[in-house]
Amino acid sequence: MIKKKICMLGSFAVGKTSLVQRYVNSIFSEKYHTTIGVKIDQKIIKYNHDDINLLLWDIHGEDEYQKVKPAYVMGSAGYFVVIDGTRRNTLDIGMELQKMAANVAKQAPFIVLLNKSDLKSDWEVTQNDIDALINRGIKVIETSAKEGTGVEEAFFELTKMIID
Amino acid sequence: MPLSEENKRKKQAAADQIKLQELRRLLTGMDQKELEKLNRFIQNPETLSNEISLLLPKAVKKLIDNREINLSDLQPVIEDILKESVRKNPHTLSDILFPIMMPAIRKAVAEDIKRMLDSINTTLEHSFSPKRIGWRFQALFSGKSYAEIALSHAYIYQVKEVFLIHKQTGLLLSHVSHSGEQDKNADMVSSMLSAIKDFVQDSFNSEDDNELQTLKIGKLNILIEQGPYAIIASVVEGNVPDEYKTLLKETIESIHISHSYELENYKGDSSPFETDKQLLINCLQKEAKEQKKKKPVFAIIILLLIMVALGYLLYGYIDTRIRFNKLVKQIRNENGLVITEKGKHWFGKYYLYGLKDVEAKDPQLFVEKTKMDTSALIMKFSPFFSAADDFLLKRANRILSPPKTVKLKIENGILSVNGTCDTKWLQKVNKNWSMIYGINSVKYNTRITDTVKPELTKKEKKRRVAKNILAIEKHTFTFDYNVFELSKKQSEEFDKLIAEVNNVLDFSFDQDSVPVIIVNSYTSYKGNTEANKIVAKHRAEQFINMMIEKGIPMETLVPKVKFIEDEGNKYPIRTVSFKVKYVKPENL
Repeated sequence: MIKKKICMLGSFAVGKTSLVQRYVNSIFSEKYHTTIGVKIDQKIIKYNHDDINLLLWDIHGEDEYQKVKPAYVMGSAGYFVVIDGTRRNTLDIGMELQKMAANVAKQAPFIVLLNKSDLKSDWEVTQNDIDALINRGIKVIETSAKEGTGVEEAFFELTKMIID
Repeated sequence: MPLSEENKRKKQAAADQIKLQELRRLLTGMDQKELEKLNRFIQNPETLSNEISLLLPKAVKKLIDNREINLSDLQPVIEDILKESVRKNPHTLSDILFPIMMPAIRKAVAEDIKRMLDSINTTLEHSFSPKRIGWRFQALFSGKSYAEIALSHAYIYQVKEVFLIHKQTGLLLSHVSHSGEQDKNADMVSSMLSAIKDFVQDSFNSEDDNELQTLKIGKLNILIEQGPYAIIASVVEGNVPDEYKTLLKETIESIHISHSYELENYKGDSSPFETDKQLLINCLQKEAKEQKKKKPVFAIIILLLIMVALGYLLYGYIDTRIRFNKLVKQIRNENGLVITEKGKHWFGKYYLYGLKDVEAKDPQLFVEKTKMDTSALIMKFSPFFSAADDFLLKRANRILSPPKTVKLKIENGILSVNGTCDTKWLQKVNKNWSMIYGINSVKYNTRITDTVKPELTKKEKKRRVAKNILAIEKHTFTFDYNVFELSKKQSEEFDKLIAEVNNVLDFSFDQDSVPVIIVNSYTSYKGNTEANKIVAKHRAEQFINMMIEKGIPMETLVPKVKFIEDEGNKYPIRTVSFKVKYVKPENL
């Protein structure tokens, strides 16, 4: 079985852990638990008739007190940059993290996840921001860990980008 | 013409030269200049070596990459070169290795010191325990040093799991466990270990050679040996010896040698590392020191308690049995007491049934004497008349109250009356002997000492009786606290009293009244009134019993308890006095 390391990157409280829990255990909790360090989960998926074991590194959210250690991202086959649509600054932090990840895992593909699509009316991230990302050739998927929207698709898409 | 010949020959030579160059170019692909350059390379070793030095590493790398040259093929050549170099001049190689060797030596020494400290720490942990004292004795008797014994006990361990982890990705390359089961979470554990390692190293160490080597979780130690591309993590319960750490090092080195290409180009496919499973299995070591089974302390305590309880019960059983047998023996030896049935109820009390002559000792006395536990004994004695001579004699003396001048004897149920007595007593004997159980006949051997006294007049009789009444009412018997027996003096006074009572009882002042003797027993309200009353009553009854024994008819005796306050302290407490009253017979 092929194994792949996938990292979840993003600012704090953008929904990285919720996305992993939705994807792995199909659950969502309204309670917020901050991630300290790293939480590891795994999910085995079928891709082109092969089993792929995805090792999901749910890394703590970055804020001014807690910087993500590049060592965690090292060796990643791919990664997600998670952005909270309701907080504009998470986009900037996400893109900073992406720069760091691109240095550490040079060949690794990534997808930007615009999370909390269920609260779209409250979004601070504008369509212009999204278009700017797309124009840079970045894959962007809107997700909602609460409703499960786009979650399966996002992980499948990243797996596809990694394998192909 | 020679000039033109000469020119012609020159032209021909030039044309030949051009043709030759063309032919050379066609044959070698190089022109004259290039050939000359090549020639210069060959002729000049300096230039040639410069050029080859640029090509050779690339060529060797390519050969290795294409698997045309194996590292193992190069190994003997390099070893020979190194040997030759050392043989010729050892200093050259030592100078080359110096920058590498010194940090390596420092690291090795530091590691050995750390291990030694770990070992000492483990030993000290047991310093003041009973275990350590046990080791001391073991060392003393086995002739080994204490350190040897302590260290031998420190190295009991079992390797539970071994993980081979790709260093960069944290992905699991291979995994073995002592149970042989494949843990579904091994991949996650592998990643988590890798994350912890990264976190620790990133947070605390800046130098590359400082690596996380041990994690401790309760009783489990996770030993980590890191190679350039892979990590081996061994989960161990207990303390491992140094040799085991060396084994881990050797294992990770072997894996790097055998899979250097796969490790360097790892893309998530762990199947090539399945072949290394045996190396990991070799790391699943355990040192199964013969562990002494833990003594079941609790069970021993329970057993001891049971044994103590059983011992106590057994002691109680034996002790009670001995006392019971002693009691039976003593009662059997006592006249007037007959045991009819004895034994012990199943898981119950001892029982003792029998017969007791009225004159015999109370069996309870023997119970007290043998200190037999009364709660473990049922004893019942029914009254009976013993036909033994002793008891017949006692009974005869009690009923007949012979005067001092007469001696009674019993032999084979025949009562012998010997001595001197008056007719009146003889009449009493005649009247009562048949009532004494066990006496079949009476044999008289007596001398009558009756003195014929002139018949007293009724007046004189009245006077004498009145005198006797006064005498009776004068008698007082005072006792000390808790004393009931009569003293010798009181016994003599009592005999006088009996004689006076007999005189009074023989006479009635008139036809309508009979005399009665009231036995007054005095006590007080001080202290426990009820108890005082019981004691006083007992004294009065005691006197009545004694008087009955002396032949005074029971119906003429009346016991009475009096509190001294009633009488204005005329009599002291614990005193018995008597009063004579004449009452009508129907009031008796």
